[in-house]
Amino acid sequence: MKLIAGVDIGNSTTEVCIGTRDASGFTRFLGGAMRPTTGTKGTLANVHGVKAALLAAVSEAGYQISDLSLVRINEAAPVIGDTAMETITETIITESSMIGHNPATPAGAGQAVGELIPLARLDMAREGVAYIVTVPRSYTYETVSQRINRAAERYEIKGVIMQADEAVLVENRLNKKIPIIDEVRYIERLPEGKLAAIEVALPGQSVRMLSNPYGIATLLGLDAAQTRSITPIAKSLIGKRSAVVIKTPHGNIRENVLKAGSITFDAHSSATVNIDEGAERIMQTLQNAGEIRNILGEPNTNVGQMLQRIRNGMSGVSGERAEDIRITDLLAVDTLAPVAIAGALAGETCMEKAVGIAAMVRTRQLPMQQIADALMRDLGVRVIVAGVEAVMAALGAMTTPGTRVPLAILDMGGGSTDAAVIDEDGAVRMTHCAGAGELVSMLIQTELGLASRHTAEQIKKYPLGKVESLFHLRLENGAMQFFDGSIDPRLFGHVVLMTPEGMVRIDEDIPMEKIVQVRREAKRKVFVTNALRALREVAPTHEMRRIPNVVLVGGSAEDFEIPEMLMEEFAAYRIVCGRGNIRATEGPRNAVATGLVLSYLGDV
Amino acid sequence: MIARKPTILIFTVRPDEMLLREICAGIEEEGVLYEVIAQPSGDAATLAAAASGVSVLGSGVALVGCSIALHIKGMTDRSPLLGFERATPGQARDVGANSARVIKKLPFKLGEH
Repeated sequence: MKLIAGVDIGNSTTEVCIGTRDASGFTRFLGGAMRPTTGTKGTLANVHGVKAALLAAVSEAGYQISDLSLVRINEAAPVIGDTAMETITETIITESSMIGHNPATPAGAGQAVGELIPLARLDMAREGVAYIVTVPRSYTYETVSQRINRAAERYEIKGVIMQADEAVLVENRLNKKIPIIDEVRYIERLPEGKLAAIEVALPGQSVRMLSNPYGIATLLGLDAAQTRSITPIAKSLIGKRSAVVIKTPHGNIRENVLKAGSITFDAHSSATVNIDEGAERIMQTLQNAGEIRNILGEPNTNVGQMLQRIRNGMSGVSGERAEDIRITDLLAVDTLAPVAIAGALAGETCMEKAVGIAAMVRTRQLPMQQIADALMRDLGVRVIVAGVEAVMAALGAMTTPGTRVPLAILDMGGGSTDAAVIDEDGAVRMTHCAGAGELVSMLIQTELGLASRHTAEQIKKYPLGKVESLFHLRLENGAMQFFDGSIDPRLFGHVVLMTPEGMVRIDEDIPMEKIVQVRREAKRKVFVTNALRALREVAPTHEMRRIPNVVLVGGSAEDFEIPEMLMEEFAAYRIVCGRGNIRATEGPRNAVATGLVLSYLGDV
Repeated sequence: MIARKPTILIFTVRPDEMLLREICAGIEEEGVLYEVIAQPSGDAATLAAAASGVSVLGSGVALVGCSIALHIKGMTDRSPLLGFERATPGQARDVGANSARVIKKLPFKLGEH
């Protein structure tokens, strides 16, 4: 019996399908397997991953490698994608410093103004001057309250800023109630002798005076020009439970201000669009430009640097010189990104409008033949490079029950969203669009201000829950889940990801509802936009209604909500759309590998 | 009508005074009320479970010498939620804070010292 293997080397996984043709001439599939891709797609390092996947697939089917008579590897699409993010607004310059945070238990309420003085130097205080005392962690709450009580008999002590989490303990022991802010980690950065305003919000509220430019002007006595320059500080303090603003008139910070810049499409009908005009306008201009030869950013601007970064990254992967790399498609998405504020003492940021961009580059053909040769030497089995990836994917997708031609596939991967249409005559039209799973991860990471990309990837993949007691958690759809034994106390009170390996804690303190909203928006902005863009491109006469079936394949088709989002969107076009089920068993995976087996057996 | 104050109960047997102060400070900083009740004998885990059963808030701490345990009413496990054989002042403060945070449904403070 002749065993044929189809091998699809993807960006993240290598998939294998094993098939044969029985005596009556029917194609029979014997099994499949999936392993992580070793090394960058299209390099010799892939051979290990391919071998592992082949071995798993043949042994699952009850055979050995030596039973294989032919291995067919996909001709990978010569496109690679990358992402970048840049804010639109210019760098912020201010003359003041600030701290804004949400301590769990500040004490007192209201605002106070005074000169900053460390607790250790209280005996140097002058009468008739208002003071705000700064207290490092080394003092106990008893010492702090005793010293402040004593000093308050002679001096005007208006407020306290503490490093330790002891505001309530100190307040309970003070004779006169004043606002106290605690959990200020970088207490040593507070400059002695400068005028500061502090505010603690009433329970259940957020700061009112210090999140208002005129409020800061009132407390610190600022003129109109100074008030203008502290506006970003006020903005960044919105929603905080406590805040400190310090007037540092000589701490002038100058930074280069970069223009946002414009993008030029070198195309059938070339056009230029300014980044300020937003993602929608950029995408409209791109669509009107027709066939794109190259996409350029204005030099020495934010967008110019962003596209340059993408070019440099691509040249690292493809081995071509950065100047020779032509960007042939991009997806621009409106988003918000945290911007560091000059003068922030604890790394505070404020959210500013930004554009996220995924770009795609056409490279020369990937060296698949070299991989095939290496594999052939290694396995002693004939290995050939066969079939264009999109055509194979379309062929494989047709094994999904309930489909018929003309059939469109939407392959949603990590770097690009690819579409292909196969019509009644077997002719295939295809396209590649920049932007897919990786752009979604980047949007989630920046909009939520997450420290690690890994957390963003996990948020993309798994639903959320909040551990409300030691015995139950509330899932994001409102359902409750109860546990027999108690939940790990480290998870208590936190938002967690419901992964197959168990609950994973999200360290950042972000409400569950906010994470859900950002996650869904990011997926919608990338995948719905790109699905429409890609399908319109390949549809007969560019009319979506002329595609009766859309089969979703690729890694992102396994997502728990993207297929539903697309189904809702396509309902308007009367298109049957759903997650593929390759060979009625594999789900949306293995389409290309299956297509590779089918195409060979088909033309024997 | 007999009503008990909503407090976290701290059962003690020959307690280390400094650790007791730290536990109380942890609870006070979170703004929750507590009562300290001396017991004739017992081990920390058992006493903490007993305290949580009596506490209106369902949160009980025990301090026996230098060993601390925190137990929550309804926990079926026999071992306490948090326990330290020879607690440091920082651990004692955290146990106090966490005995209150479990009621306030706030994340625990764990090992910042």
